[in-house]
Amino acid sequence: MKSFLILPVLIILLLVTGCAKKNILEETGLITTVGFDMASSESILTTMVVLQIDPEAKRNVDILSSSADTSKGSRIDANLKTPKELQAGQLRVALYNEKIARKGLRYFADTMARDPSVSDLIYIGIVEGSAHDTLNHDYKNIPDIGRYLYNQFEQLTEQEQILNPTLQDVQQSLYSVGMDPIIPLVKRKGETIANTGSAILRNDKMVGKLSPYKSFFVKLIRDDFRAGNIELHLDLKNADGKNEKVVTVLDTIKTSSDLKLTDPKIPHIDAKLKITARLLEIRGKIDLTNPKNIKLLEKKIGQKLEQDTLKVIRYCQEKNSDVFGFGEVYRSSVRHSNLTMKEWHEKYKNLEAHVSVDFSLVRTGVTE
Amino acid sequence: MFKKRAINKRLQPKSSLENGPQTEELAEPHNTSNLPLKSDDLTPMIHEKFNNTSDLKVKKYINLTIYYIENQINQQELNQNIIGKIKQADEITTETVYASIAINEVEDTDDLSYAILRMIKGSVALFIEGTPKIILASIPVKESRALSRPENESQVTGPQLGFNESLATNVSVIRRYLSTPDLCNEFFVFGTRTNTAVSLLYIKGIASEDLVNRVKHKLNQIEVDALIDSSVLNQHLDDHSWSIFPQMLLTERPDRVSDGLLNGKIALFVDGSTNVILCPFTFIEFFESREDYNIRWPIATFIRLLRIVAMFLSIFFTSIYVAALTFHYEIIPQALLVPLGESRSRVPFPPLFEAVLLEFIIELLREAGARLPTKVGQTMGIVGGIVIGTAAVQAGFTSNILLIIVALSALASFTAPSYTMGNVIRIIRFPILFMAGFLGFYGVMFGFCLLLIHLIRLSSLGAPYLSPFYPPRFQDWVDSVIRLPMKYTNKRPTLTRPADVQKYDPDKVN
Repeated sequence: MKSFLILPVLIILLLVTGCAKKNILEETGLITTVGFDMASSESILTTMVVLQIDPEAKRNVDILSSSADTSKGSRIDANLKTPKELQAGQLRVALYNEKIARKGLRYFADTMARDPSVSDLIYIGIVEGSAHDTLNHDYKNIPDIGRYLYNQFEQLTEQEQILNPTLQDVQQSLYSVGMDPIIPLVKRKGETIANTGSAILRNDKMVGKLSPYKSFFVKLIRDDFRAGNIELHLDLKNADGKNEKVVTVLDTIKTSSDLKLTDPKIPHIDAKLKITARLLEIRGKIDLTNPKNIKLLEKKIGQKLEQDTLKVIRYCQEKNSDVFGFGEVYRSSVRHSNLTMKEWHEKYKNLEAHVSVDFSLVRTGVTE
Repeated sequence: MFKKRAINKRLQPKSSLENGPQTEELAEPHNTSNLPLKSDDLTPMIHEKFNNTSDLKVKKYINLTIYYIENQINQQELNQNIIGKIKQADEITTETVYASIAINEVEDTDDLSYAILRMIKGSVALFIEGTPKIILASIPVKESRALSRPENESQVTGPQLGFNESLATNVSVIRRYLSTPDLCNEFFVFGTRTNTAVSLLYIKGIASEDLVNRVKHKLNQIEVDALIDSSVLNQHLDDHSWSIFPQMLLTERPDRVSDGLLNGKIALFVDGSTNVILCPFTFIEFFESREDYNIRWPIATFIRLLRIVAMFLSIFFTSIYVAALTFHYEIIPQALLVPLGESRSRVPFPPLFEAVLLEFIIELLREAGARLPTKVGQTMGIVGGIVIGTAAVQAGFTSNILLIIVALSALASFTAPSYTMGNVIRIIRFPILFMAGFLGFYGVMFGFCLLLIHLIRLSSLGAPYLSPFYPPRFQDWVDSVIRLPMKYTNKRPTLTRPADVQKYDPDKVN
């Protein structure tokens, strides 16, 4: 008896829901990368990298560009120029021109996040120069610019040389009170595309740039390193009492940061950083067989890291962009603060940060 | 030969197989049976029962008449051990016949139908004038082949012995593995026309009595006219005859049957069948092999997991390919995008059609391979391999990535140690494939859920089919998908509700 009831229900279930839209792979124009520029004060120039999956095609990708007032509108416009229906489901990288970033990214981040076919884990980058030019350039050694960019972002994230630049991260820092987004900067250099540091934002507007070296210190406080690396320049006094410039390269840097709000009025933040690293390379006359020298080296590196962290914090304070997430610390420490981003940016200008680094070398390698 | 004998009530034989003259009955002078006193009257009766078959032979010797079916008995034994011995006796009476003939299995009956049945099975009927009894001496022709390797369930390690078509041999093989008087053998006869012998084996003290009674009850309920193979009896006994899943194991390996009996299962042997039914059985046990106990436990665990993965792969891999290419291009990894697209770009069919076509060709090849004689079969494999493998791709008929996927899932379906389960896995792939083609991942999940609901509802002789996962029986998990060292698998599975739970003391085992 039961099965008589179940059967029609099943059939109805199958037939009523059976109208999903088909997107057969080879009949779809897959947008892998998209770039946005300002075309005029209102309209946006969108450049799309569309994957060519025809083995007989000369180029692996097709670059389409169109101008429209919205990003979806430009896709409709670009669809006029292609034999296959354009779909954004394979979008991996979205690039924004610096001008757009300075005007505000919230709209773009939103429209991406609202599209269910677009992954939240696409990489976001800000281009120094024109995004259209960066994508449309006929690179000698890059057959597929979309793949190149994606692999580059992935590789740099894995190496911890850039901060997590996914749409999700950007959205998170855009909408959380007490944290501003930091987005990697990208620039075409001749026949390659290079990462040139990070753009720091206040709310959704870009306000400044950090070099790759300086970006390191943002990550030091905002995230933890598991296996980072960096090159440090130190001034040391050697055994003869002479000043000497020493360059060290640290790798497998492991950090843990402990941020504490010690005074909510100023506000004053105490950042304790515990860092361990391996000495990969050292340039300069220093005798590593002497444990005293290693102690000295550790102390100097710690000091250097402290100084540079403070420098970066000061720069960001100047630009009034809290990419470190100090606001989060404030919000979680002060009860009923009802903090808004506006209030925090007022407070942030006067923030005093004290950084103490506890640095130790775990390995220095074989020395003779 | 058999420990205990319970003849199906439909046959109603009056005498048992136990040997020895039954003098009390002979002493009665008055004829109470339906047999005549004279052979001249009996002969036409037997002829009539046999519908005047031409291979019925009747031989007369003084007051003794011998009836037998020519090709069913061993002629040499008849001459040497029956006729030759009787001739040496002074006079011919029931007692002297019993005393002189040198045959183990001798009985007498006054039931003609029973005598007829025994004659078909290879007995010689002896009739002495004036005595309304038929003495039956069993000298059947031993036409069974020698025990050979199990062809369909091969193993690398462990015994290389398979059952043959003789019930007696098969039971004796099990007796060799399980030399215990607790091994009970109950005898049934099935088929109003075929009268096929069926043996029910279980170990008293391990198998739950409830279960044994349940099987007996089921067996007694079945009324069929013919029973040719154990696989048919298996279907008669199934709890859910509409299901696609086998609910009992058919195996040709004595070691597997012995192992099952030791775990409280019940085995059914059918005369003339090389497969033995083992019940109750669960879904996961179809993916276990006896060989898993012959190898060390980490390897056994790995192989068992491999089979489970292969099962899922075989059912869902092609479907996932079709769903991803038809609906969800978003989930294709970036590195696979170009190779997938390029291989698909030349194919003129939609992914579903392409996949169904290829699966169909593989099924054709497999079925043809099973039907063809071995010598032609090899040629067929090569032809199929070249035609499908190379030519179909070059002609732009299918994409080579799909070819790999289909071949992989076909290969995976053969890892199931049970042939019947392997068949099921191959077939349930098709509905899920169609669901994937019409509804994408939604359809695949829908199909998976239906499958799961069905499996949860199934039972094998009243025992839950998805045990030990549902209902969860955590103590059985140590020997299901994984296999832990012997120390931890000292309990019999709860599935059979064994009378004796503990196999051995874990402290005395490594």
